[in-house]
Amino acid sequence: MTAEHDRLEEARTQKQPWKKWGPYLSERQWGTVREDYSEGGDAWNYFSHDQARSRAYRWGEDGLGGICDDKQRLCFALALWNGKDAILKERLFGLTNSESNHGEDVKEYYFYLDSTPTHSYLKFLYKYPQAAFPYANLVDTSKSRNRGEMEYELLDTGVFNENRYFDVFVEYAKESPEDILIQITVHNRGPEAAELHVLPTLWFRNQWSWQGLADRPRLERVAGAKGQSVVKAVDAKLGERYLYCGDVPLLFTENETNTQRTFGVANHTPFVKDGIHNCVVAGDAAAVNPAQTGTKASAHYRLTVGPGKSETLRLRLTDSAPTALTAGNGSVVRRGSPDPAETADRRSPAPAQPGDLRSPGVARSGDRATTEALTAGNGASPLGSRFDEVMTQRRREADEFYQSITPRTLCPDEANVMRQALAGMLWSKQFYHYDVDKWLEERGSDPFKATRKF
Amino acid sequence: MLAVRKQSIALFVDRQTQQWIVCDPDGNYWSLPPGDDPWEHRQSFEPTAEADLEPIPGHYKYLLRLPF
Repeated sequence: MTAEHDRLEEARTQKQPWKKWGPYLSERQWGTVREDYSEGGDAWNYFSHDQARSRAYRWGEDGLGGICDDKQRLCFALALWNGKDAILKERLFGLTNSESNHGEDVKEYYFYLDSTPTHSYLKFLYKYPQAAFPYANLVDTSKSRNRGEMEYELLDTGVFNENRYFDVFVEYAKESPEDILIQITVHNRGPEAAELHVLPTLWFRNQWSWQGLADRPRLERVAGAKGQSVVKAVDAKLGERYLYCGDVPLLFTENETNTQRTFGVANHTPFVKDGIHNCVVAGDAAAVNPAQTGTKASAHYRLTVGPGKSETLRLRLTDSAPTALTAGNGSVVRRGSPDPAETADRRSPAPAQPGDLRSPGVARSGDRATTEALTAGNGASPLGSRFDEVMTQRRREADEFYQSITPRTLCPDEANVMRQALAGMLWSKQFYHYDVDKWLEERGSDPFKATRKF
Repeated sequence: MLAVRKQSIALFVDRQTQQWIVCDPDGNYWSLPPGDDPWEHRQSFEPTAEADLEPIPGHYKYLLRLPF
C-alpha cells in the first residue's frame, strides 16, 4: 500500500474528500453543443473562440491547465501573455469544421504529464510561443487546403523556430483535500531574454446571472502578510477559500458577458469577463474594479526570463484564512539552468522497493492536523520552505503509487508511457453540466409550436 | 400524460438601436432601454421586416430582471 492508496481508501469511504478538487476544468467550452443557442445547431460559429473571452458561459467554464471543485463553483487556471498577441492566452485555440481541411482540430501544444487518482499531485505543460500566436495564419492556410492535403500544424507556421517559446509547467500538490499548493515554472527555451505575463486566475462559474440567484459569490482582496497578495473567495455553498500569491498586483472584474462587444447593447456593469484582458493587453486600467472585488480575479506577474533560464511562482488555494497562517512571502525562485525534472518526458521511476512503499516520515493524509503542522513553527508560511517539502513529498508519493501498479515486466520507458497515458485519462475527468429541459426552454424550443426548433 | 407548459418568452437585440427587445408571453414586443431596471421603462416595439433582430438565449432574462 502507498500513501495514494490510503487517500483512495479515504475517498472511497468518504472519510476525506480527496477528489473534491481536480482537473475538472475543460480547456475549451466555446463551440460546444451546450453553449449553442443558434437557430440551426451551428455551435462553432454561434459561440466562437473570439467571443469566449467576452461572453460568460451558461453551462461550464474553461481554462488552461486549470482545476475546480467537483461542482465547478470555483475555478483556477492560468492566463498568459507574451506581449505580442492581441489577446490573452486563456484557453486553447482550435479550428472549426469549416476552417480546417480535416475537420475540427486544436492547434496548441499541451501535455498532461502526471496525475494521481485523487489528484493529490498533478502536472501540466503548455508550450507558448514568444512571437505572436498565428491565429489568422492557421485559419487562412487551413482553409485554403483541400481534403487530400496534409493538415497545417502550429509547428509548420515557424512560430517555434529557434526554440523561441516558453515551457510553462503547472504543478498542483494537495497538502490536504482543501489545501492545494500550486507551482508554476516558466522556462525560456529561446536564445534571448523574453518577457511573459503570467496571470493565475481565480473565478466563479456564473450561475447567478442565469438563475436569478440572490446569493452571489464574491472575490475580494484581503490583507495578508508582508509580501503577499491574497484573494478571498466566498460562496454560500462552497464556503471561504483563499488564494495566496506573491507581492503582485491583483486585478478584479466580473464573470459577466460583455454585452456591448458580444451583442451590441450597453453593459450592465462596467466590469465584464474580458476586463482583465482589456487591462493587460489594451492598457485600459478602468476595465478592472479599483475596489478590488468581483467574481474573477488575476494575480499579475511580469517575468523576464533569461535564455535557457527558468522562474518559478508559488501560489496556494486553501480554506485557511491569513489569520491562521504564519507570515511568509510568495517568492519568485530564479534558476540558473533548466531543471531536468521539468522536461516534457517523465522522469524515470525510482527503483522499486519491496513491501510498504510509503516513504519514512511522510505524513499520509491531509487532515487538519497535517495542515496545522504545515503552518506552525519557525519558517512555516503558506508559500515558504514547507511548500517545497510538500511538493516533493507528493511527487515521491506519485512515483510510489505508479511503481506499485506498473507491471514489473515493463521497462522504464514503457512504464513512463503507461503513467502518462493514465495521467491523460485522469486529467480528462472534466465537469460538464447540462440540463436539457432548461436548455430547450432557453432557446425557445416549444414542441407545441408549429415553428418549433429542434 | 399531462404536461405543464411554461409560458415562453423570446429575447432579441436590435442591432440598429442597440437595445434589448422582449417578446412577452402574450406575444407583445417591448424595447428595453439601458439602465438598472429596464423592464420598468419598457416601450412598445413593433417588429418590422427591416428590423435587425438577433435572437438571444432565454437565460439572459435574469440579467434584464424580467418579471416572468
